[in-house]
Amino acid sequence: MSNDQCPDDYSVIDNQNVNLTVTIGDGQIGSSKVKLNGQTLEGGEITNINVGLGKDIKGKKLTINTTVDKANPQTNKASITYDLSGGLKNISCTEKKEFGKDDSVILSRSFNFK
Amino acid sequence: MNNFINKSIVTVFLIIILNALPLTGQTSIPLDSMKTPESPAFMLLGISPTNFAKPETPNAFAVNVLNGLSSKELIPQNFAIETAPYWWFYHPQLTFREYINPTICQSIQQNFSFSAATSKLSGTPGGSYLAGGIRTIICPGSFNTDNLDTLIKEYHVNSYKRDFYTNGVIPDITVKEFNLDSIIDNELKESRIYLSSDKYISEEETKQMLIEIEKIKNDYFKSGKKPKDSTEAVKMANELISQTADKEKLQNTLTEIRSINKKKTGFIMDFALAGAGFFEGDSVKNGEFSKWGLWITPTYCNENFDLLFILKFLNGKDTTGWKGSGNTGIRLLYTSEAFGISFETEGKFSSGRQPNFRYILNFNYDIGKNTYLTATFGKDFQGNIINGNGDLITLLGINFGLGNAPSVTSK
Repeated sequence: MSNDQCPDDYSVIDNQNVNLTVTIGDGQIGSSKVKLNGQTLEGGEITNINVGLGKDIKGKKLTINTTVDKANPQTNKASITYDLSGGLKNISCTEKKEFGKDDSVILSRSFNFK
Repeated sequence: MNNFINKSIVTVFLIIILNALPLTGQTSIPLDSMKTPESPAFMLLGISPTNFAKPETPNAFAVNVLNGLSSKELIPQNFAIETAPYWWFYHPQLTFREYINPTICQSIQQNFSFSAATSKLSGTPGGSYLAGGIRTIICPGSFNTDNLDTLIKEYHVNSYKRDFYTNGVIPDITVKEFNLDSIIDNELKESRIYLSSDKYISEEETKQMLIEIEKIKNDYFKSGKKPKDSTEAVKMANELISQTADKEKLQNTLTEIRSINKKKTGFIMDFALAGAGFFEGDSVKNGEFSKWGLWITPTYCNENFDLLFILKFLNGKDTTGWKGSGNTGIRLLYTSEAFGISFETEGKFSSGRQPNFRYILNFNYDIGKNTYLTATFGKDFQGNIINGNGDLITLLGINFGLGNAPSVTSK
């Protein structure tokens, strides 16, 4: 179950890998770019990617930039759910936005690994 | 040889046309008009409002209803509303793939819409008609998974390129000086991440993108444009892409993605139900339920073959009681690159009358340059005679690019 509020920090465990999944909801289509301290890790569809071992990513910042394009003509809504696992606890949170005049919106989210 | 055959066919058809009955009357096939209506409440009242409310949130729905009720009359006049409650809310877990190829349960939910309308009751003492209806798609058909994967991959490639230009070029043209080499190095690294994951971009494409980025940089420095924010940067990046060798690729992919619902195959079934009543003198005590209708449109289609059933039933009350009438229709359609052939039959049934049928065989042959030879033969409804005194339908003609070969779509 996802919470609407995404936390700024994510607590890691030294010897466990942190994984990330980005889900584009509302029947829309989107492409993400995931960066760790400015270095690109992955792009496009993000499904359970390995961000790194807890001790290696502690103190680093994970940034996810997603452009959502309107593919579902039945709604003007766009939402992105971020699922992080492998840390002290799994989190799932959702960001929501509506399309404006343009049929694309950008959503950004950062997590500080602690 | 093919040319000769084409010319021969044209000649034969032209001779037939010269000897055929005058090409008057209708040539369109009315079966489509009986398909499940988008707004069954409007259909039941026989209205087609051009400007009706389509609220997208519960609040907007409430405001529209309250606005309607705040008029001086008991029942608001010329009120028309259509809404899809499922889309009032966010659905963060509904991915594009699930939206395009939904389960039956998901399809019913996401395609469910409600419509309501009022119209004036003619005569004295007058009053109002009020109708409400629902519509949904029970069986959604499916979009070929391989084609969907290809399309989504294409989207990611083009979206990646947009992102590539956005992050690689736009932020740097906001300052007067920037180091192109460092941008290229950085973007090349990022491209290699894509390459290493072997997901989207080929090495050749990456090289091509790097050539384009240099061209774009030069053009943009000359133009002096600067984006205000990231949204504008994406917009500018889209403009950039349209100026490059990837012209309109992203937009074309998105257009194709948005029209997927029209290219579905398999079993598709639409359903609609509506009811109407009138309030004589706009008085509640004079209110009476007077009409209801049911539409079911099952379709089976694959690449070349379509089978369409239409079931429509209307039941209306008059001074002598309830009277039902129904229409059923079947259309079989086969299309290939060169020709399309369809057979359709439609039956009308109503209380106290003999069933009335029509049968139509339609043939279209593509003679090139979007020009079709068309031929229609069949038997019309009794009492609906097109040519002469009989019920025989014979229509022959040439369609000069005014339409396409016959097709059946789910909507």
